Parts: sequence; C-alpha cells; structure tokens
Amino acid sequence: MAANRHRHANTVPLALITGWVLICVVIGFAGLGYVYLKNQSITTGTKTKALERELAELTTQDEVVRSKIALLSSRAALQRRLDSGFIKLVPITDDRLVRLDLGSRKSASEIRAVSNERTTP
Amino acid sequence: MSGTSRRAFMTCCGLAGSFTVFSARLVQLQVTRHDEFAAMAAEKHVNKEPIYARRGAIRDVNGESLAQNEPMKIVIADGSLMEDQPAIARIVASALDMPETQVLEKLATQRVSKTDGKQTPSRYIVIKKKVADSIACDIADQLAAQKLRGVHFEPDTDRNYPNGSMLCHVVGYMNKDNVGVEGIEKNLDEFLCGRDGFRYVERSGTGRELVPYRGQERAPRDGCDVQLTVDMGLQQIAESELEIACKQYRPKMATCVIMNPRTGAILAMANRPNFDPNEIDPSDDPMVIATRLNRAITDMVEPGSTFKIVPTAAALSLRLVNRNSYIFCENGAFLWGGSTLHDHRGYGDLTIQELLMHSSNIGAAKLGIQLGEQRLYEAVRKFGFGERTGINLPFEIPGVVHPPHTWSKISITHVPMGQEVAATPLQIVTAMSAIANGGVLLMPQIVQSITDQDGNVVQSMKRTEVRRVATTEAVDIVREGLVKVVSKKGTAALAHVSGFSVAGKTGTAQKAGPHGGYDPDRHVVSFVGFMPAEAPEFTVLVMLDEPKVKRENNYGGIVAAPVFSRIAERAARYLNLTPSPEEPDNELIVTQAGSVRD
Repeated sequence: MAANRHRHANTVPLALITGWVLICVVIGFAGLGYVYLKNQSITTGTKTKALERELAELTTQDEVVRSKIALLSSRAALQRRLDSGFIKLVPITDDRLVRLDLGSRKSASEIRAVSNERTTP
Repeated sequence: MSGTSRRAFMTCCGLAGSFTVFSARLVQLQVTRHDEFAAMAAEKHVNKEPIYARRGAIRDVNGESLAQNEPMKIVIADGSLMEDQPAIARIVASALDMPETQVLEKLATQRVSKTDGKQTPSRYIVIKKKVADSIACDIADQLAAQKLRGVHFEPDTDRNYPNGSMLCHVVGYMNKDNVGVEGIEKNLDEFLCGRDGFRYVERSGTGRELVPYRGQERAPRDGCDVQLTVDMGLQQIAESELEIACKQYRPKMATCVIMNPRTGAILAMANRPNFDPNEIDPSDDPMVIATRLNRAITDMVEPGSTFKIVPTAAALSLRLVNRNSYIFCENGAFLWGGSTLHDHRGYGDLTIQELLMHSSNIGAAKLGIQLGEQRLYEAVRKFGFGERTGINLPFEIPGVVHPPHTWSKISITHVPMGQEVAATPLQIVTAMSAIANGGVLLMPQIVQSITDQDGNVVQSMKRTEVRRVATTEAVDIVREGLVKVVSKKGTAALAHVSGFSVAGKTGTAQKAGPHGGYDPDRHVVSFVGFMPAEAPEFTVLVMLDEPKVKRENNYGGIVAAPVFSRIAERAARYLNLTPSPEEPDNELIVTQAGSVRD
C-alpha cells in the first residue's frame, strides 16, 4: 500500500522549477541590467553634455579675453591712449644722445643706428 | 457540434480574426510604412545642428593680430517648445533692445511640415545674431527664473579689427553674412572661412538633448590663419606720415607703399581716404564707397617722371647709350611731331645720369626716339606696366599701355616721360624695386603664409621672379643716376635722409582736363625711391593726388619727397639699419631709447 501511495502522490518537479526560476532570474537581471546600462548611458550623456557646455563656455571666455587683450594692446588703442595723455612718451633730449665714431665700431650690430637730423620740407 | 462548442469556436475565430487584423496593422505600420513614420518621428525629435567653424585670424609678419573673432551668440527660438510667447518676447525684446512686436512676430513663424503639409510652429527661429555673451547669459537667467523654455543659444562670432582703420584696405572687411567683401578677407575667404560641421541631435519632450542618441556627425574644419608680409611697425610709420601729409596738403587721395625690393614682399600699404572696418557704413553713397578702395591697386594715374627709369634702363640695356653718352636737350624746347616739348629749365648736353638728376623731358623723349616705338613699348611692358602684378588682393587693375600701332606722332616723346600710359601705384613701386634689386621684376607678395589649425603650412610666400627687365650694368648706371636725383643738385634734394644714401625719382604728372588736354592746376605728385642705395632694404612710394599747394610748389620733389624722407628715416631706425660712414656731413647719433621716437 505504501509503495502504491508513494507512486500516486504529487511530486514536486524541483528541476523544472529551478530551471524556470533561473530563466526568470536571468531575464529579470537582464532587464535590470538593460535599464541600469541605459540609465548609465543617459547619465553619462548628460554629464558629457554638461562638460561640453562648460568647455565651450571656457573656450568662449578665453576667446573673449584674448580678443579684448588684442583690442586693448593694439596700436590703435595705444595711439588713443597716447593722444588722451594716459600714456606719456618723453621726447629724447639732446643730452640723452650718445654720438659715436662710426669708424671705431667693431660690427654693425654693435650700435643702434639713429639719425637726429630730420629733413623738413 | 453542440451549441456550446459552436459558440466557443465562433469566439475563438472572432478573437483570432481581431488579432490578425491588429497584427496586420502592426506589420503595416512597422514594416510597410516604417520609413514614413520614422521620418515623422525624426522630424519631431531629431535636429541637424550646425557646428560652426572658427574663421581664421589675419596677422602681420610679426604675429600682431589684424583681424580676429570675438565669440558672440545667436538667439534661437523653438516654436514647438514655447508655451508663453508674450512673456518670452518681453524678456528677449528688452534684453536685445528690440521692439516687442518684432520679437513676437518672429516667434510666431510657421513652417510647412514635410510629411503632412500642415502648418506647424517653426523650430528654428533666429531672433538675433551677434549678441554679446553677457547678454545671452542674462536672457537665459531670466527665462530660467520664470521657467520659460523654447529659447536657446548657439555660438556665433563677430569679426573685429583691433587696429581700426590702419591697413584697412589690405585686410578688408566682411558683410553681415560673414563673407569677405574686400581685401584679404575677400581674396582668401576660402582659406579663412573653414567648413562648418553638423550633428544630428535627438531631443526629449522637454527639449533636452539625448546625448546617447546622437546621430551622424561631421566635425567642423576651422579656417586657416593668414600671416601677411606687412610689418605693422612700418605700416604705422607710413600711416602717420601720410596722415600728416594729408593734413598739410589736403590731397584728393594719397598712397604710400613700402616694398622689400629683394623679395617683393609688401611691408606697408596705406591709402587716404580710409575707413574703419569695425564700423562699416551700409549706405550706397559713392563718397563712402570710394573710401574703401585700395588706391594702390585700383587707381591708375599717369606716372609722370618716375617713368623715366624705363627708357633709360632700356636704352642702356640695349647698349644704345652708355654711361658717358651725351644727349643734347635742346636748351629746353624740342619740336617733334608738330608739338613743342619743354623742360623745366633749359639744358644742353646731359649724360644719362644727369638726365635723371634733372628729370629732363627732352632727354627722355630723345631716348624714346632712339629706342623706337616697338622697343619702347616692349620695355614698358617688360617693367610690368599694362598688366596686373598678381598681388593677392582683389580688384587690381592692369593700367593702360596702348600698343604702338595706336600711338600718335608725339606718343614716342610722351610715353618716355610717363604720359599716355596709366599705372597703378603698386606697378610704379614694383618697377622701381626692379631697379633696386639689380634688374629683376618681382611679383609683389602680401601673404607670408597660410597655416591650418594644426600648424601645417598650407601656402607660403615664395620669391617670384617675373622676368629680368634690364642688365645689371644698365641698372647700376640708372641707380647711380637716381642717387644723384636726391643730391643737392637733383630734383629731390628734400628726399635726403641723413646717414644714408637714397636713390629715387620724382614724378609730377598733370591730370587730364575736363575738355581734353592737361589741366595745369591739377597734378599727381609722387616720389619713389629706395634706401640704402647700395644695398636696398626697402622701396617707398609716396603719391598725392591734387595736393593743395601753390602752383610753383606743386612738384613731387617739394611735396612728396619730404614725406618719403620722413618715412625712410623712421623706417631705417625701425629696421635698425646701419648708417653709411661715407657721408662725412651727416651727424649720426646712437641711443638705446631710439625706438621711443617711433
């Protein structure tokens, strides 16, 4: 009788259940992984965009500053400053000039050539 | 089949049929009409965004900035994202200093959908270009504070010219569409402008870019940087002296060109009237447009006596005359072809060098007769007159040299003294440079190099010999004659520069009158010379059109020569040229602070 009952009792298909559970777990983890990776990708994209924007802003600021430096240090700007009296150039007076005997110099690079005579119309 | 089974069968069939219909529709949507719906989705969410290339800079030979970019912003509206257009318009209009109605009108721009042909709000509305970065930030902050969306900013640039009107005709300027319309900006536009890139971008419903879904992308290729042969130190000298001359003589126009006779490099090119490329007047007034002309290459004048270097060099090269030949100058009046030619003063026998020194018209005419029409014409063409020099600047004209078969009886006597031909100032300085460098006509160069953004040299200046125009011996004799021109006995004593030997030639050309012939009161005066005469470092041309001076002073030797002298003296100091020790009369001084006087 016991053997017969044992033969007819409902058995738990452990192997099958384990198989299905594993499949579900794999699918679940794959789904979670997909969502995680997608989230990562979007987060990285947002960070990339923010960094790109920051880099672009820094480049822009750099270019603006460079442009301002060029404008403020240009010959035209310096001339305006000179004309307005902000920068003062002192004319070279005669006592500041050194007259050299050209025959005594050793090489052409030894002196800076300056002529103090100005031909006038 | 029982009733229950039949009902079950019918239900199954119904369900199967419905699912089949749904499946068929799904297949139709996903497969058959895939492209159509994908395009609709793309139109809704995907934008092709431009990535602007940076325009290349223009610099002088020492790297000084002549044209550069200032980063700005373009204010863009996306009609599909805007919910409160009046509020946006209010903020944007007040920040951009625009009428609110105008902004509202722009925001309401519609476009026709490519897929269904319906009118939808435009997604790319340019509200304003060239907005300062600080203003763009201010707009963005105000919109964010009120949680308004639909306005974004794209990078833009404004071209600015730090030196203002200095070298304006060479550098040129750009129109509002960022296209070069004058000068180097025009001629080298293809190198300077680069190539814009693009990127396909997908946006979320809130307008944020979905970076992982970026599509096809092409990186921009920035424009090349252009380095000119111009030295701004010399340019400033030329500009300031020309400005002084213009204030003193009030000419209609004035030009100064400084050239390196050994390489053909243009070291300075200044014109009056001039303009500020940072503030372009948009009017069509001819007077305004005239200020933008580079007179050195777009204006032609009769060169006058500066042209006498051509028949003398030609006659010497062909050995028709030599250093010791005498030409009888008819004591000041020479009848030829029914017309009497006059000299400023009566001269008898003159050597070739004395002919140049006194600028004898009769002597030059006789050289022309000796050469003959064909050989004179060939000599004129050999020196580059009647053809474009090929300088890398726009709108250069070739000048006018008529072929001999169209000449009148007196042309043979007038062409040698610079009449009946028309030349640009650049042609004159190029011809004089040929004398300065030993007889080789060089192509004038204005571009030193073109460099791409990786530092690779795309193009660089090469000394380009056009042709030999005269023999070395002939050129030596002419050069000695030109040195005498600047002596106390010559016509250009005022071109003298202390400490240096100067060679040059004056030119005083009468202008054509309104009723034919020449107008005795309107002159183009010029002086073209080089220095030091024995080893020239630069050739300078100074030309003034109709200077306001007394008739007895209206000569190149009186008006233009002193300007040359001042330019040459300052240029010599700037270039650190060593004075010639052979000149005992000249007192030479040396100072470490010499450059301050520049």
